[in-house]
Amino acid sequence: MLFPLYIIPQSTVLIHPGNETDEAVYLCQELIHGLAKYFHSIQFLTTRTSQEHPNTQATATFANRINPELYISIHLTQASAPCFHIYTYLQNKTDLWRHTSSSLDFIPLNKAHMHHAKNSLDTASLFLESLKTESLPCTDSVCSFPFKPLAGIQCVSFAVELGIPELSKWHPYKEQIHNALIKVIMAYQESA
Amino acid sequence: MKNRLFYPILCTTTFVIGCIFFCMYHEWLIVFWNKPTLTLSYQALPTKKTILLYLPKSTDTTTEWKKEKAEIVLDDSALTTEANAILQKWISYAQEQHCLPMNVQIDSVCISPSHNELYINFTHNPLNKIKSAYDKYCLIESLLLTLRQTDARTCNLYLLTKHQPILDSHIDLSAAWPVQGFSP
Repeated sequence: MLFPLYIIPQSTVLIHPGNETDEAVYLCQELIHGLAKYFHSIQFLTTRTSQEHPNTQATATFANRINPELYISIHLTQASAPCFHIYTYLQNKTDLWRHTSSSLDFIPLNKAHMHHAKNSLDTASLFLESLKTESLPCTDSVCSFPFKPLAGIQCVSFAVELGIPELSKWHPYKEQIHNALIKVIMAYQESA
Repeated sequence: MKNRLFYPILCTTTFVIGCIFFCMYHEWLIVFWNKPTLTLSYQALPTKKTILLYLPKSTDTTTEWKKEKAEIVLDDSALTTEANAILQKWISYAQEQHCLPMNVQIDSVCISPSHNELYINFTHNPLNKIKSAYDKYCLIESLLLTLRQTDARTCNLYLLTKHQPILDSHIDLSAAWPVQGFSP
């Protein structure tokens, strides 16, 4: 007699493919496939499929309801030369100062990022360093500004924008992004 | 004695007064009834100011700025006048460098009564939809960097198109951006 064995995942990572193109969805699916094989105790979810284009508020509501440990937004855009840009959400530089709130507090959408702003920046910086070790062209530092796809996300979150000449040719970078994400998730697991 | 001098003095006096009024009537004699004062109405002279216009350099990995000196003539010291003059120059420079489409112009620049919020209303959306978030962010940072040379450096900036917040898929402009910007 077989007893089904369910492993309750210890944590959740939510990956959001940017709304610009469906190519981002395919990239995210490949990444989730690889990461799920690597981390058995983590469940990896995505916010949309190739036919869906939820708006920022719907995505933020969905993400906050799931309440993942880490939220990663992945975007593909056209650029003359390949380059990675990493973003976190800030409305003011002072948002990085520690803000405390209880679970019963009402937090408006434009203030949701404040609770984990510093952690988000640290995690994004770690991801940037990991990309640099993979010898990928990246910006010098993480750009923190009101980046709309991260608006309203309460958990630790950052976004990656990959600029490539042809949107369909993201395959050469998949392996490096995958490796960089493994480093970030492992470091995040150790610090948690 | 008294009575003998009274009438000649009266006649002479009235004659002199009559002469004076006759001269005044014919404007041969002008009398300033109100004492002229030396107060001057203050009107500021137009001033010339040299500013630096910033635009992002076309490198994808580093945030570097192209700079160009420009001169603006200010009729008064109002912040909106100064900001408007600088922005007009910045737009012309950005259009020369093909960073902005030619139809984008400044419609109006306003400041809140508390002088904490500056509103810039464009005729068209200055952010190109197909550009990356990084390009758009650098363009806004270059605008903020240029504005920091005015007294608006402590303000928060609202960017509008047709009196509504600019809608963009990457950049959240529904809230005010600090003119101090986000770049380190």
